Amino acid sequence: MKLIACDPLIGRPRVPAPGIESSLDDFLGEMQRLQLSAAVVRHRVCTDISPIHGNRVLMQELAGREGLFPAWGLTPDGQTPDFDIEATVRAMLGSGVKVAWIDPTAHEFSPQPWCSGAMYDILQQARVPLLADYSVLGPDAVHTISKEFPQLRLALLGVPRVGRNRMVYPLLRMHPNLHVCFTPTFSVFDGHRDLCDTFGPDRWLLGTGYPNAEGGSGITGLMYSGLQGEAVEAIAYGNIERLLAEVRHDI
Amino acid sequence: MTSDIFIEKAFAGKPLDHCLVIDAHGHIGCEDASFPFVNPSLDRIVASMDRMGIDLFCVSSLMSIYGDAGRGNREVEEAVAEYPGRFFGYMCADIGYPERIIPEMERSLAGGVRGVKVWSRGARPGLGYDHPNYQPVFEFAHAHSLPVLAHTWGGELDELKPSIERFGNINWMLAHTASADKPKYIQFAREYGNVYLELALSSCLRGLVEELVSAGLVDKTIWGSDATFIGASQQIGRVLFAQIPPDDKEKILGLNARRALRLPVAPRKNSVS
Repeated sequence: MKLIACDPLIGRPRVPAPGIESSLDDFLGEMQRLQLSAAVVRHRVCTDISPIHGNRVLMQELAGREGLFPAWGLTPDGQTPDFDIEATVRAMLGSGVKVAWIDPTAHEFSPQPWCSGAMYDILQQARVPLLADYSVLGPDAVHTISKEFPQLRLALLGVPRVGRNRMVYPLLRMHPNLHVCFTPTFSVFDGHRDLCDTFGPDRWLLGTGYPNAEGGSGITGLMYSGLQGEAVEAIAYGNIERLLAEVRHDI
Repeated sequence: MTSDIFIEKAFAGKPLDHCLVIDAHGHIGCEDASFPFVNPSLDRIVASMDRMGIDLFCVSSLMSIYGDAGRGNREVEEAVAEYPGRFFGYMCADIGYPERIIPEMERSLAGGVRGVKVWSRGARPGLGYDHPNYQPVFEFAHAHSLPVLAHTWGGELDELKPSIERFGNINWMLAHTASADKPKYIQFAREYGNVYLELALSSCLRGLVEELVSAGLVDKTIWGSDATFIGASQQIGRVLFAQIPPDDKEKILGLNARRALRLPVAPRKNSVS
């Protein structure tokens, strides 16, 4: 079965993690080992140095590589020379990039609409999936963002393993364009199946937790979930392929 | 890539029906104030086990780990009786009430429970494993040669050390290996013949299983999931996809636990090797 990982983060950390490699070459080896056909890839330089430099490095490293979809790190102020988020997103789309991610903690901005609203608005118009860590945003910000920008495809990484999560479930119920990436840390007994039973199969993405987690955990989490056929295929690759296909370049 | 039946079955979502699989760390029940379980009924748990090919699930009750040993241990006894051969029971003790400890452990042993689970932050927060209240628990386990699964997060290893050295009849399973202070876990497993390392960890640390095998601990490493706090379907992937030989996976998935738990039964499946 085709498998597309949506959460990899390549790039060596400033402080080496003993025994854990995270270069592009290492990730390509992991893709082969885990039989990943494609991946949405972020670059650590976006947070360790700057999103401007990180996105540039990402594009250089992924140039000419099949099956690797770059995700740009964004900040609400945009990038040089315009510092205009609309111009930045248009440049991103012009480079063929169809996924964005934010880390408000690393880049010291508020994820709330008063600070980041223009960014959400342009991403919403372009139907660009936006990856963000749940623990960084927090449930209240997820709610506010999704309420004010209901067409924004917000995909949460790092959703905790707390069963039928008392905050995530209501958020999913209220906001139809809210998605969850099943990273290995989303290690919930019968979690995949319960989410599909409750909300349908179309809002979940596959994660492998690269570089810190054993990626096979994400795969077995899906393959032994008890889900069948179309639901498994949707999570494994169908949902992210649909999201990528829906991105608009004509904004 | 060399053929590996564990990886083949994982990709196919097929049960591991070719070897013994024991999940050495888990819980039944749903009594937890902060943790809304999806559906931890015994039927759902057994269905999940069957999807993966887990033969035996070793469990304590959530009630008992949070300080209601009497009701919780009975819940475990009922599960063991209701699904013969599918559950192995761990009894717990109300550490905060030392007068209750031995009577309840004797009752639970008579009820068919053959293991002990300790969690110092659950049953009686604030008392470490080196507190005198734990001594009767370990003495009882030692006297009856019961395995002890101990929740650990690095720091508890030093608390356990005197009891590990004193109670040689106990096979100690240190839960959540490498949650913190990984070298100390490795050191303990190397130093003490009766110490095993249990793997449950939601972060699914990449490379940990390989490192333990490289450290010479292939016979001391035990797979456990901590279901239903954690999903077994994710946790098993850490072993199935580990870059180690299939024979080593078979040991970690079941054969080592069978030895540590002193299970009298033969594997119900054929071995891969």
